Amino acid sequence: MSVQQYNVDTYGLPIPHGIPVYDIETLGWVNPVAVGFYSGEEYFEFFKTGEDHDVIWEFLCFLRDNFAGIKLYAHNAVHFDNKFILHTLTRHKEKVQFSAGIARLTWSAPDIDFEDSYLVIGRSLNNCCQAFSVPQKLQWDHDETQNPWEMMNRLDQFRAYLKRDCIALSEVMGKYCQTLIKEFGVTPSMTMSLTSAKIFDKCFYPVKKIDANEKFETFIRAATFGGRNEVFHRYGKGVYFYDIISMYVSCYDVPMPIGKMQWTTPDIDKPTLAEAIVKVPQMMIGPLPYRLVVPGTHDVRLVFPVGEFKGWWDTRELKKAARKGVDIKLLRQLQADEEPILKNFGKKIMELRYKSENVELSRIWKLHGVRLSGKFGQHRFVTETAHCLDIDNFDGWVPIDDEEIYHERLVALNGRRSPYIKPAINMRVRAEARIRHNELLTHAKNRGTLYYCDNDSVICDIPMYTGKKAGQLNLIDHATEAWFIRPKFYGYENDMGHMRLKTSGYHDYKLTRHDFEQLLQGGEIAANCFKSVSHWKDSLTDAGVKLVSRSRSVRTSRDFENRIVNGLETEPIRLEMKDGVVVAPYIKSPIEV
Amino acid sequence: MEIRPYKGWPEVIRLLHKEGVLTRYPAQQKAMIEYDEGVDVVYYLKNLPPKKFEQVADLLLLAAITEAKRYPDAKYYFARLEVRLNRTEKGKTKAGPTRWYTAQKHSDPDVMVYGEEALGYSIPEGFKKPFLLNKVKEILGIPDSPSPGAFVRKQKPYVVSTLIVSMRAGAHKAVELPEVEDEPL
Repeated sequence: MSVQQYNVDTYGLPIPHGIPVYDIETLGWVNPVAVGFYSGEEYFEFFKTGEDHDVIWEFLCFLRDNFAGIKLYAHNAVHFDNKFILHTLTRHKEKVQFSAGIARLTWSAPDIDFEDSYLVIGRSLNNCCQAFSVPQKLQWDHDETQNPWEMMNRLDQFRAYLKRDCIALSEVMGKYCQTLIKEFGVTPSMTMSLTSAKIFDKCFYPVKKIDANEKFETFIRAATFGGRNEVFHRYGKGVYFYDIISMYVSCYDVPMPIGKMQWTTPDIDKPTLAEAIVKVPQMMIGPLPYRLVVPGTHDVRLVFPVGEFKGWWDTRELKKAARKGVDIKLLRQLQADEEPILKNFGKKIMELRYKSENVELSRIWKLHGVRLSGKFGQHRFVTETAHCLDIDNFDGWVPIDDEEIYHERLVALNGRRSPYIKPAINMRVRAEARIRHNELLTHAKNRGTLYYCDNDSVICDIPMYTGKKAGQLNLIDHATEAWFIRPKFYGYENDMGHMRLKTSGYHDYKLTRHDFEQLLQGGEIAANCFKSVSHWKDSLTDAGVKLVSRSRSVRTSRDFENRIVNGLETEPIRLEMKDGVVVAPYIKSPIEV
Repeated sequence: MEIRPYKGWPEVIRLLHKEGVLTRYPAQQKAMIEYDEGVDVVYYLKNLPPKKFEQVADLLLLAAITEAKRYPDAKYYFARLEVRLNRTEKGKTKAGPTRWYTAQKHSDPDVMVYGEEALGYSIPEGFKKPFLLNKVKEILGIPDSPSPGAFVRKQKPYVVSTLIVSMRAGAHKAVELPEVEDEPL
């Protein structure tokens, strides 16, 4: 989005023209029948006129002849619209450049960019319309989409739907640009994380002053872990479901490692990260994370074990663990200067959240907050794709299509090529989030029964202090009865008598309380998913695709999750060290099971 | 780039034949590509199970290098192995029936095949090793890999069916694009 696209209003703020957008409508998700295109000033539409008519190519020719040099967006283009564009361009032997995989396709000859607005805003179009008070999308049942010449009197409704879709997206993008310019003086970048990083760089702290510490990246990555997701107690009555408000953003107030790292004499009171051998006494909530390779498999699970083990951790996390009675022997340590550089950014994001006119806008700001730490933790290795005519020396390139037109290679983004990769900051934010989460879990456990926790949630049977500030708890729901089968797989009946499910992997299958009771006792439930899913399965059936037979079942748990199940209770895994190697003697491999 | 007929079968092909690895003698084909020109030598393998593949892997590498060196005027060399996966029911929804393991293009056939050993230095940590030797190791490591290892049966997880050794002239051929007829709006 170039700055030249803006005029200035009476207050001196830039007013964007409408942002150019397009939208492809298909029959059965595979056969394009219509394209809507809004140039920012004028709306155009293209319809398939016969079985052999290529509507996408007609649209592309129109762009080439009238809008060379344009950049246009489609919502969720990476997974849908851009695939059709790429397919059509390669079929017509047009040269395409991939600046960021399929997220930005550049049609070389007329210099037209096709980008994904979902990556820019991070929310669905309907949610974005709500956030920016733009009239919503119109209703259209995609099952009713037919070839335009078969739609008869419904064609007008379909055209209105397509036009509204395009104009709504353009308006949303325009207002989003305007908001960013007003608040931070920046325009959106290709992804939301990049926009957040640019905001931080421009308005809060120059990222070039933060040392990337590439030399120590292996150690920093070894000390970077995800959030806790554990089942502590598998069945309960009168259960409170709490969520932590802006968990990561609330941790932005701690000092972040920004200086050049160097080896130092091990001392737990010194920053920043250390390798240690720890002895965790038997306790319900293990304080330190560990990546465990499940014996006999290649699955790596994040566990919070007890016993003796070795690894790299943030020293803040080690210090906290020491206070909980963990015996720590530091082996080596890296130290860097620290400053709370994210504090003001976090504060500003929370301010924007509070003053948001609606909940959807608040969520967009929340995403901006979270994505910053994610951007700092981005990996350096990326796959680069190029057209053969753009490659001078093919050494190191692998052809990816039969025609050997496009090639790819893995490149590491080092130094100036990755100005926003600062893994130590990401490590610190995650460690701090786990520390604060652990505090809340310990509080709940000491005063009542703790059932379950996910990254930023606490589920227990006692009322806890709630608030509206970042880092405080927010009551989501209350259950009369709840069943926690395994991480990300639970169900409960709320006070209104409604059954609520979180059944990762079985979204299409509605489980009843009877099913949960059976699962809790180790039973297995046959689930024929084909019967329970409608819409897209129907369209497949209409197209002649039939499922001959497929049986599926819901099981109690895998043989091992991240804690040991003991009736209705669970306990942390116990690790031991034998000859300097960490082993999990109490976990059976799947073969043994 | 023209096909060079064999002047008698190379020793390595005789050995492969003796091992009972080939379904027929290798075929040399002109590469059907638009932007470059070159030759592909296709080795049709007898669907080699992991154990047999491990036994003859050295011979296949040798065959690749022998073929590549028959075309000293080629600018780039690469090779690929076709692996047919014996997928589990769940695996059928997660992985396709075949996978190509392609070694990267390189101007030196020794490097293309033997990689670090021929280069004389090691590839930095974090990079996927892209040479044919590494691709062979990747294939042998399929049962232990998260993908496609998790999607294949424990017994007879895969078979290796084809080896293609490719030579390319490295020409950026200008391609005449078809004239586009503007269709009425």
